[in-house]
Amino acid sequence: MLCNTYSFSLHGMDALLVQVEIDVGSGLPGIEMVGSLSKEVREARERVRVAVRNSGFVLPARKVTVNLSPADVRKAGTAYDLAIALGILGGLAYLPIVSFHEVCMVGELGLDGSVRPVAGVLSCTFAARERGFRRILVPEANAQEARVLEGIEVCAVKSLTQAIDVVLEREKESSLLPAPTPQKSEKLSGDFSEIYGQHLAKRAAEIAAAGQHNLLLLGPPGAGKTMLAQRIPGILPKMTREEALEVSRIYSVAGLLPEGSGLLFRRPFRAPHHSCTVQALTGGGRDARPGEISLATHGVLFLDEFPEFRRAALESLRQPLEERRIFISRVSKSVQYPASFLLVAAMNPCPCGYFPDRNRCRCTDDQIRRYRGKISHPLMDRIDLCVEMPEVPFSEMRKKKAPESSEDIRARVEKAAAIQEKRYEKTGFCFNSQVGAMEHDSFFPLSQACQNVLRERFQKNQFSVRSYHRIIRVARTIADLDGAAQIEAAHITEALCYNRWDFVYQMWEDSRLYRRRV
Amino acid sequence: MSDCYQMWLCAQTQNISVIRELLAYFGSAQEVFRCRKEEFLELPFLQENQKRKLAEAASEKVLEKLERDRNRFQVSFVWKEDPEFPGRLLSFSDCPYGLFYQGRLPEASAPALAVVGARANTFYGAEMTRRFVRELASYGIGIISGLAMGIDGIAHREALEAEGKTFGILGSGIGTPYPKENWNLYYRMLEEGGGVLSEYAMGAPPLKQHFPYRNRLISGLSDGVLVVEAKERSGTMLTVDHALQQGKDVYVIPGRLSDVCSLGCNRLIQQGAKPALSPEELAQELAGENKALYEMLKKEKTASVRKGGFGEKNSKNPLASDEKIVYACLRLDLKHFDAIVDETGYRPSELAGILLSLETGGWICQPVPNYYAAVYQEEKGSV
Repeated sequence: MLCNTYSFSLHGMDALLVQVEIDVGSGLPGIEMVGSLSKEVREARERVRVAVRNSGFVLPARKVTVNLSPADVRKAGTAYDLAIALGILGGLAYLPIVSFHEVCMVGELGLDGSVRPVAGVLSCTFAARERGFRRILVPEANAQEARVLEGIEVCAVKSLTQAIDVVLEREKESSLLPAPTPQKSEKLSGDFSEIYGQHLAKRAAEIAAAGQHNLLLLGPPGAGKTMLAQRIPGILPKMTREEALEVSRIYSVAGLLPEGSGLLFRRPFRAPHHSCTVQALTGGGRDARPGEISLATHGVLFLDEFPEFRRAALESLRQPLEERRIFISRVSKSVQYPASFLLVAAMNPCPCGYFPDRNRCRCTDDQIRRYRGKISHPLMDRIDLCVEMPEVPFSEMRKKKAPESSEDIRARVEKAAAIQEKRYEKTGFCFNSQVGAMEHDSFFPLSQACQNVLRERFQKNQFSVRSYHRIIRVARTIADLDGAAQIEAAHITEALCYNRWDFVYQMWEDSRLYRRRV
Repeated sequence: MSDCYQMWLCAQTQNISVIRELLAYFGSAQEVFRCRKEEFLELPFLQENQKRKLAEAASEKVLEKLERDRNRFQVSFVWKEDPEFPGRLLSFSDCPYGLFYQGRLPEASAPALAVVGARANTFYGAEMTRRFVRELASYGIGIISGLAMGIDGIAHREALEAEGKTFGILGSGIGTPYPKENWNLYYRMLEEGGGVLSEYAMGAPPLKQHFPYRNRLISGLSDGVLVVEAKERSGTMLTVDHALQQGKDVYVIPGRLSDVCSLGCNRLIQQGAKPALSPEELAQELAGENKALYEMLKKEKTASVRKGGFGEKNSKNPLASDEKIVYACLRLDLKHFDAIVDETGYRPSELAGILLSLETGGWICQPVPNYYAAVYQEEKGSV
């Protein structure tokens, strides 16, 4: 007898409907599986056979053929186990075929018949709803993430027997829990009030958060670069439901969603080690899994010891920084993941770490230049803010008055974000940092006073055109934080503070003095 | 070329005693070159490797290559007995037998000052070098240094800016200047009337043992040595040792006791070196018997009063009160933005504007991003 059940195959962020066709007929007894299967899918044969037997069913000596359709798409993962098991029971007439109507299912089976969690349940539920399925069976451990979506019945199942009960609609109440109320405010680790001193860096962090400007922190060891970076997610605006859904989907696909958690309302903070490979950073591998940049979507990607990363890994950031998404192409598939993150990079100012404190640093100009040269210009062009962090003097730590809290800073950031949202309505942009050079003049008109300030600096320091745009973008964000309608000269002067990387790095030599000849 | 054998000899070894022995034994450089290979091997005063090296080098091929290189790099060669050879060196026992050079040689009549200091200098050291060299070079005092990073490079550059004469002594052969960061400077020195000297043949690599050895030429070619910044154990201190052996005056720019870069300087003062307190005083010291310079300094003194310091006395554009407060907390050492915030209590956004206007006005500068220092103000008041 022929029986069809439905399951899903993950394809990047999306789930592809897979029809599981089961035929039970005469022939050599056994289970035959076809349909471009990877090793773990093929192994489902044994898992399913034992799980079905241990759930109290007898498998007669018949030939069972399982086909996963479409048969030309490679299938990986263990999410088909449940659909195969139920399909076989249907094919053996233990279950009426009609009960699989408008039902789909994902889940891995244990030998004892238990249903175990799988990755990407949120995406599968999404696709199921779009395909018009009435209900979806998911492992109980994944139930919370599936339930964040409305418009589809989500049935959490613990075991194969329970799944059968659900399919036969014998059990309805227990598995159909209402959608959980999302925990809106999750406590973040660390607050800005714990950072003493570092006024400039904190201000830069605020600007970075407000305008999604990428940030580079330079400073000696122990200056608090990591501490600052870890607190940046806490001052970003609260996540909207759409953002949370997107983040949760990526984490679900990557199998990184904590067990039993629903939507993630906390901004991600990813800090990969500098030995990280290109694939780990951008995503990839045989199954084109999401990488760190996708996992940091709507949050912060913190790259500590920036120059120690492999050159190739750093350069691979260029495109996603521009496009805010990444295409991963492999032989078997090419997928797209979101990669809209705030890059926060940290590095020492020189190989020994203490420049410009000459009592400790003996690095030569050449060493410093070479060290900084590990970050390419095209990459630096995408980093709008750059600050040097000094070591914090002890006297600063003993100050009684606590610095501003993350809460206060976030209030300002949210206000600035709201202003930007209004400005960029229907333009496809969200933040000042995303405005391209072409649109600069229309979005950021400059008064005469601002132009004078800029002209003066440019004549002195030979900025590049890119840094010109960078200064204006940052100035716009500063103005937004100020609530100013127009960019004022004061905003430009402040923006200039964060844009010193452009200098040809001549340590003590004032470039303007010696520019006469090159 | 008549001096090709002498050049060949100087290219083979810089060991003064070896050349002296060879010349004493053979009579002339040409005879050394003409000598049969077997004869080298029997010379008693040479070490085995030197014998072999000389025996191999004594060929027409090597000579031709030297000539080719000389034309290619536009290098001149001067032999010890030539009249152009810098006279200041002749009195020393370790005077080189020959010098390779590009551009000009320092004039014997003009006073010259060696300016030496740390490669990893501080802003204070840079600013002091600029101040002293700018003025001394404008009096026509030749500035001699080693074309290295740090103080050396700044001294050469500042001398060029003041349109003075400056000479660099290389620790490598001409054609392979080291470090490469100073290549531009090197060519600029040649174009603007300076010179680059080396006792190593064209294309010799910059070996680390060359540098302390060439330091004797830096001090030897000058009338005095100005030490700007030096750690207690450093190459700069070797130059000072040479200078003392050669009987040159050593002048030192004092530094703070807490600065590692100034420890050597302060130690030298303790040992009796003269602290250099102002460029004018130093110029007068150097003028000594040099009548022309002395007259010029006298004229200069009556013509204009050169003064400087930190402050806005007599300035045409007085500072705003905000700027005064910020300027008051800056010195010649670097201060981070945050430290200024802590000291003055301005908000970062306010302070950024104040610092920028001070910077635009030339009162302060930002040698390292987000670190600020006051600029030494030179006042030119006319009488």
